[in-house]
Amino acid sequence: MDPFQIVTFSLGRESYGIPIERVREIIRPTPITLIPHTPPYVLGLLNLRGNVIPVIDLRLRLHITPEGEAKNNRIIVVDIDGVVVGMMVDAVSAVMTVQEDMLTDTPDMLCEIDDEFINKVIKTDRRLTVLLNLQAMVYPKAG
Amino acid sequence: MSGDNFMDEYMDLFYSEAKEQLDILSRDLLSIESGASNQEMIHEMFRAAHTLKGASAMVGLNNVTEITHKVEDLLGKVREGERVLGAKDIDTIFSALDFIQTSIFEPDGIDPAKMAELSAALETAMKQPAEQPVVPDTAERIEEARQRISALSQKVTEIQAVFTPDCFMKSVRAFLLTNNLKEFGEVLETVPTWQELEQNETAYGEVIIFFEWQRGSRDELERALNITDIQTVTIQKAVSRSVPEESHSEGQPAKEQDHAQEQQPQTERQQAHRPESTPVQPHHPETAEAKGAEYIKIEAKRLDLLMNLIGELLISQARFSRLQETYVEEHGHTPFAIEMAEETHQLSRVTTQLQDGLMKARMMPIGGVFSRYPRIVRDLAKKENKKITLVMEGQDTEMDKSVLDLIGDPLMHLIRNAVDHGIETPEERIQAGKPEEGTVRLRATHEGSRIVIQVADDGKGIDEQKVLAKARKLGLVRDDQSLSRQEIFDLLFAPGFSTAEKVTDVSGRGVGMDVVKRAISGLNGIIETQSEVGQGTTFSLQLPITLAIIQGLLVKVEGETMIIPLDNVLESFQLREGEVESIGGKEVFTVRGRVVPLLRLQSAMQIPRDSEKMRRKYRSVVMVGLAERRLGLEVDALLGKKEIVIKAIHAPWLNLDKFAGATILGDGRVSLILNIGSLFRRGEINRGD
Repeated sequence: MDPFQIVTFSLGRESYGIPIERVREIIRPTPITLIPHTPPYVLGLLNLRGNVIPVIDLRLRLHITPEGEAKNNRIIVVDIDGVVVGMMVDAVSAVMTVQEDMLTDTPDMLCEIDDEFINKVIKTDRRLTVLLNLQAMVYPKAG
Repeated sequence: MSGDNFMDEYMDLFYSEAKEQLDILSRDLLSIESGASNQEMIHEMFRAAHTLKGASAMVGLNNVTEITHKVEDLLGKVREGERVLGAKDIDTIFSALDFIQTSIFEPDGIDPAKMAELSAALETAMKQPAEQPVVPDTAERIEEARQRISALSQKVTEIQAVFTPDCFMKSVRAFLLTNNLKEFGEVLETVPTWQELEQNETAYGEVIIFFEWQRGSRDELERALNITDIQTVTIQKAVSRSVPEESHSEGQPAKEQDHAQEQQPQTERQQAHRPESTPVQPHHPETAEAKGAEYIKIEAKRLDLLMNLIGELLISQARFSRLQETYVEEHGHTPFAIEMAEETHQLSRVTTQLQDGLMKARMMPIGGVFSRYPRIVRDLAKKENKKITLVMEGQDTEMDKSVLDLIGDPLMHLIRNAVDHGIETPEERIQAGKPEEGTVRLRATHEGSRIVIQVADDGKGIDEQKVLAKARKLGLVRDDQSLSRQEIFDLLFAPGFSTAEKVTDVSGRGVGMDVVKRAISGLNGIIETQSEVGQGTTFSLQLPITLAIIQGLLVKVEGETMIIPLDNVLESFQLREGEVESIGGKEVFTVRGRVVPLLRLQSAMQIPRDSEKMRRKYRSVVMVGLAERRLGLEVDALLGKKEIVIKAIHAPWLNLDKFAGATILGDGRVSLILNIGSLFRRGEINRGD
């Protein structure tokens, strides 16, 4: 496996990451229009330079209590196989290069979120970063 | 949740997923069969097959997984450009889809022999390209034909047509070319021949046509040869490429002069050998432009881009108007404000004209969609031993391309339905005293800002009692519930509903009426059903001419601004508390003797209420209508009428049935457009009678 790059961000006290090629852009929160009759983690719709895109709160989605200051909050706009979604996170940290030997499978009971949301866990000297399964963020289990 | 429940839910998910993917596959395959070749379609089919494979593996349907896997492989090869789908492959994939359909929805009907046969057919299809000779070398044959033909006639023109790499049905394109050429003269020979092309689609990238040019200008000829999926056309005089012997060229001294004007420049060697030939200009740009200006072929994507930009412009203009209003509020009517107002007005006028102009450019006749149905009706009728005529009217009715692209399938389902369930067998018809031959009528007409498409058959009609009984059995209707005629017809569109006593091959392609309903609702359209037992059934689809821009009424509900499509708005008024009554715990009011249910948009949309809000003396109500039904929507305030640019919300993972899309308002915020149809569907809303 070739090394690949991920964008890391924080949710609560944990570190998460998604492959960089999925990330369209990272923006500061702008006014969001609520969509009635949707689950609570769906924050609503925002205007991204003339395009209407839905935004989910990744913390609510994963049942994580937000941490840190609201001014650091960011919306990461990702492309999940052609479906564009904004994901609100506590703060965006950095871009990191992942080598094959850094990848491990999910250690049991290590993090607070469900297995279905986790693709792999990336281990460095300093911390563990969960590589998110983006598909599971928006599609139910069957997808 | 018990394990069983979970599995049920899981299977439901799988069924709807499978249905959707099969739909995509059939739809694209049919389009490809009907000659629309498109790389994106292959990608889409590949993805659909892939999804279906994964989903079926998860629920343990191994037969489906295996066959889907093979279909996916075959499509993969096509996607990689290693081969092209021929007519036979398309048939094979269709049978595979039918098999998958049966395996999923009626697992009892699986025939193991059929599966083995299918599996083998798919494998053969996969291997085929390897067995085929690598592109047969036509150069020699072309040269041979050139010499032979130019010896016969002095005026032979050689036309080289290169197919686009993803061109399907090359034989059909070649046929069209030669057919169009007949107007200009006589086609002498083609290399490869039409039959060769048909048998071995993938092998040839171009076709050479030898042609005796008798009439017409070069421009006209070029236009006649402008055919989909032909990448380039080169027109030149047929001249042997081999170095001719002196005696040959001396024998035909004036050879070049006749059609010198039409020639492409010759290679230097040839020019050197034929000093007598007139020097030729490569093209005549002036004339080509003058005549070519009448029609320009434009990639649909470019128009879409322009449409998006005009959408942006409209939004920008709305924001600008708002700025101007704010300025007037703050500074009054200063000379600057007046000048600004004039410019704002001018800007909005130009923008509107620009928008109208582009809308017109996107309009296309519906005939293109209709054209694939006669064949389908004929095939189906044959299969079911029925005699059916398809009558089509209003083919030149124009609609926005984006709407046209989406109505093909729902219409096809309705037509199939009419053939399958509507029209009786000849014997039954004779017994009923009807002509032996049934008629399916497909008709498109303009009605104001909407298009009405009707699919009517003179078959046996819908038996209301039978529909109702079935719905009760399926638990869609309670035993004590009494329904109106229209409501009974509406049941036909409920998911999982099918009155056919046996599932036939036709319905076996897995498209229920709920798919039609979903597609039409997605287009903000309305379906009406009329039927008389013994006389036939008519489905009327009311569709917007365009999806891009509508007139909307902006309303305020708590902090939110929402939009009601003006098409649905009948009137608006202020109701005093005393004018609102209650029937069975539900609020109603009376308009001209008609009792209309009243619905608070705030509660219907589950928007949190602001408890600080003052209670008002009057209640603002917008009365909306859908077909014969009426509903009063209570809002906090009416903000006015506006031109609304609809922005699609691309979120297949969200249930957005209640909205017809979103738009961006003057202040840059997103606002949702209500889907009035969904409000009527809510259980608590009764009919207004």
